Formats: sequence, C-alpha cells, structure tokens
Amino acid sequence: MKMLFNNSIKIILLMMFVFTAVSVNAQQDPARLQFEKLKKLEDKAVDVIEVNIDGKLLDLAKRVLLKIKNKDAVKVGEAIKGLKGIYVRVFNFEKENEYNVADVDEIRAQLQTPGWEKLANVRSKKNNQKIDVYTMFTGDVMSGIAVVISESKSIALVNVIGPIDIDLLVELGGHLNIPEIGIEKENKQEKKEKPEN
Amino acid sequence: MNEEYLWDKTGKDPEIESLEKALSAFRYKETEPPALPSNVIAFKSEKKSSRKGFLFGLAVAACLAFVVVALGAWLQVSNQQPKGEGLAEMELIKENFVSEDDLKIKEDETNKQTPIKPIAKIRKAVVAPLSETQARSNKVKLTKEEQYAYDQLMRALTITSSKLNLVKKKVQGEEEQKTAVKEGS
Amino acid sequence: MSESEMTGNIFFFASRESEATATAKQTEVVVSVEARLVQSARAGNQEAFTELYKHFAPMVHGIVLARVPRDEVDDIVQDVFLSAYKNLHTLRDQNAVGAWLAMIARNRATEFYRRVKPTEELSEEIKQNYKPTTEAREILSAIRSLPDAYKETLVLRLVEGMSGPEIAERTGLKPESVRVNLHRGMKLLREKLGC
Repeated sequence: MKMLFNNSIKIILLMMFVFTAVSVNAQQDPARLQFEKLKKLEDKAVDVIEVNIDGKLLDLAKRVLLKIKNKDAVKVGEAIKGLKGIYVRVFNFEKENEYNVADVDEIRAQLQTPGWEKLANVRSKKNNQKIDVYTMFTGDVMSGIAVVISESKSIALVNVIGPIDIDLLVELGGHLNIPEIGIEKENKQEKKEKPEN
Repeated sequence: MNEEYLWDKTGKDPEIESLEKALSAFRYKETEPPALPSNVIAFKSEKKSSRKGFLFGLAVAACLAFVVVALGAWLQVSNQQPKGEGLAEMELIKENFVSEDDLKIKEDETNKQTPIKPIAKIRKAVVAPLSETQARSNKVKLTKEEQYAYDQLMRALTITSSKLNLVKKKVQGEEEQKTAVKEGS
Repeated sequence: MSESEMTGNIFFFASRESEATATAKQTEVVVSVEARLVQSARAGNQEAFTELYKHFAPMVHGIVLARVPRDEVDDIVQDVFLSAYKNLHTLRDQNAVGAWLAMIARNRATEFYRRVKPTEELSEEIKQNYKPTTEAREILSAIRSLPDAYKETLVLRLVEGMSGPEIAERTGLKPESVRVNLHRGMKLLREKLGC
C-alpha cells in the first residue's frame, strides 16, 4: 500500500512537471512546421511571400470579421472559429532548378512524424510538380493541415494550426473580395496558352 | 424534390427513386471479410490495468487541477501588468504597417541606396490593396491595426484556399482522366 | 449479434467536436455497441471484427466507389479493413470507429491514383461482371465530378441505400451536415444531369 502511494506521488509530481513544461512551451504545437531552414532561399528567389498570423493578431482579425456583417465574412468566421494560426511561405524563382530540392524535402520529412496523415499526394512530370497535403487530428478534432507544393520554379508552403473547415474554404476561394495574387494569375495564363489534352 | 424522402426515405419521390434503381447495380454486395493475419498482437486486456488506470486518472486529475490554478494565477498576474506592455505588440504591428505614402518610393532610388531584398518587394503587394479592402469591407470603420490584421488573415486564407483548390483540381482531373480511360476501354 | 440488434441497441452520441460544453446539450455519451466490438476485436476476437466489417462495409464501399473505378473498389475495401485491423490499437476514440474507417477509406482511394498507371486495362473477367447500364454509369460519373463532401454523401444515399441518419451515425458527421450535403449535392447533380 505504501509503495502504491509512493508511486502515485511520483507519478503526480512527474505529470505536474510535464504539464507545466507543456503550458510554458505552448507555442511548440505538434502541428507547427519549422520553416526556418528555408530562410536561405530568400536571397535566391525573385519573389517571396511570407504571411504569419496567430496569437493576438489572429484574435484581432477574428474580431474584425464579426464587425463586418456580410455573408462572406460570416462564412469565413465560421470556417476559422477554432483556428490558432496560419503560416504561409511562397518562393518564386526566375529560372528552373534554382533551389535545392533537398531543402523542401526536409519540410516533407517533418510530415513523416507521428500524427501527420497523408490526405493527398500528386506527382506530375509537368514542371516537376510535387503536391503533398497532410492533416493532423487530435482525437476527432483537426489540429493541423500542411500543404507542400514544389515546382521547378516555385515553392509554396501552407501550415494551418487548429481546426478549419477545408470544404468551406475551398468553396469560398475566389469570393473573398481580395485581389488575386500575382503567381496565381501567371499560372492561369500559362494554362490558357497550352493546348488541352 | 421531396426533401424528406431524400433525408430519411419518408414519403415518395419518383426522381430519386429512379436514380436509386439505376445506381443499385453499383451497390455493395455482402462479401467475406479479409483473411486476418495471425501475428497481429492483440491489445492488452483492460481488466488488469484498471488499477493502474485509476491511479493514472487520479494523477491526471491532480495535474489538471494544478494547471487550472496556475493558469488562474498567471491570468491574474498578467491583468495586473501595466497597460503599456499590451500596447507593445500593437506598436510592432504599426512598424510593419506601410502607409500608402511609403509605397510611392521609386524603385530607382531604392536600388541606388540599398540592395532590395526580395521580401521588401513583396511587402508592397501585401499592403497595396488596403484602400480597396477598406472600401469593400462594407464601409465599416477599422483602425489601421484592425485593417492590417484583417488583410493578413484574408491574404493567408486566400493563398490557403487557392492551394487547396489547386490540389482538388489536380486530384479530380486525374480521377476523371482515369475514369474516362477505364470507361472508354 | 445480428445487425438489427446492433442498430436497435445503440444509444450513441456521435460528434466530431470534442467540446467540454457537451453537457450543455443535455446528451449522454455512452460506450456504443461499435466501441465494444472494437475493444473485443483489439483483444483478438475475430468474430467481433467480422461484425464490425458487416456493419461498416457498405459505408466504406460507398466512400471508395465515390472516388475510384468500380472494378478496383472491392480490393480497396478489403485493404481498408485489413489496414484497420492491423492499426486498431491506434484508434483513440472507440466511439468514432466509423469516422476513422471513413478516413482510411479516403486515404486509400487517394493512394490508388498514386499507384495505378493510366494505361492499365480491365481484365476480361472484370468486364463481364461489370453490368451497370450506360445511364447508371453516366449518373455515377456525374456524382463523382461533384465536390468530395457531396459525392460521398450522395453515393452512400443513392447507391448504398443508407438513410441520412444512418450516414451520419456511421461516418461520424453531424446529421445537419449530412442533410445539407444531400440537399446541395442533389441540387448540383440535377443540374449536371439536366433535370
């Protein structure tokens, strides 16, 4: 009986330590990908887009959505209700093969850790395109999404932390009254010029 | 269309019924389950671990109580912090926020003075639509910080949704191509 | 245990939200019959796994059918359950075994396109068993061209013959979501079919 009691005290103390550590290091979310190693690509890229939105900035943005009382804002607000952060990196290069594929593969390697589950995977010989979409679930609740797209002249990385309504987001794409980003326009033009198979 | 029939088959709907009849050819036909491997390690019986489970549950409950108390104390302390600290983050946002006047800097001049880092170029693209979004956001009056936060969020969501759309099109396109090939043959 | 007993005995709250405010909704969370089957299957009881298979195979079949060619569906369904059996110990919430199986099915369907080359042709044997009418194939093709959420729900409803509440119970989706998906999906399908 004494031994049981001692053991349980030890367990409690250990768990206290673990939970304290977890609460202190709250930012180290398991769904958060590390993009630091891609900093070196900024010098080589002709265009770089970096968007980080989390913490107080995200809370502020959510409050703004509540202020704006139009249909899209309400839908977006619903889709991102539980969102904790979005991190985006896009690198565009002038010429093909100006970056080392291994740099992007290091990001993909992070998605092989337990917790991440493959949702979609596309490989295309056109432009050496590789697309990976992974999700992470904590129980029944989505805790993260990762999208890694690499082509011969561009890299796009999206890391969403927290639950987000993917279907609604895809549905809303193009209806957010935000001007389209330059890269997307160029891709569309390229598609129009090439004959359909 | 009879919504109730579509939901729980209450009532009748000839259109839906004809679809069901046509598609019944694809319905699942009961088959035997797969042959299961014999070397799968069975999960341990939970009876033996019930005592350990109880102790673990007790430990978790104690830790949760500790966390709640610690959180409460932290919140109390943070509420007592001087207001200036809360504003520090907003000041940081202001520093990152580029006004329209700043955008008028000519490229030639900046090229001469300092080498332009790629990220500096893109900050223009991120900020430029501010006035447009201001007009489009139902004429709601927003502070500069709110506008910036909103634009950043919309920018992030736009990129995310465009990438997800791209993936969806790729997957659907390949699926349709393969279906067309199969049905053609 | 027969299928009717299983469905009759279920007091089951299935939700994809794990909010602490569940009590505010005045619902009970009870270990479901499926959860007991999962526990039993984990302990090595193959009969329990067979019961799980019988209960969820139509759902898995429908989800896979919504995505891959008809002749590949049966193999993938078997593969899904085999994989599920091997990984049953990783399932955290035993009440959500349906949603978990649905996720495996979707992943397998996606992986199928990574493995299969477009030039593979149907074998003669498969062609002979492939009897649906041209109209049926066109309807299925139209359903497959819809967004994932709609096509899956429509296949489960129109092909597998499951009702809306059954779809919600087995896939773990909220009944309201299933209802919306059915309504919107059917609307889009009618447009595609020119009704």
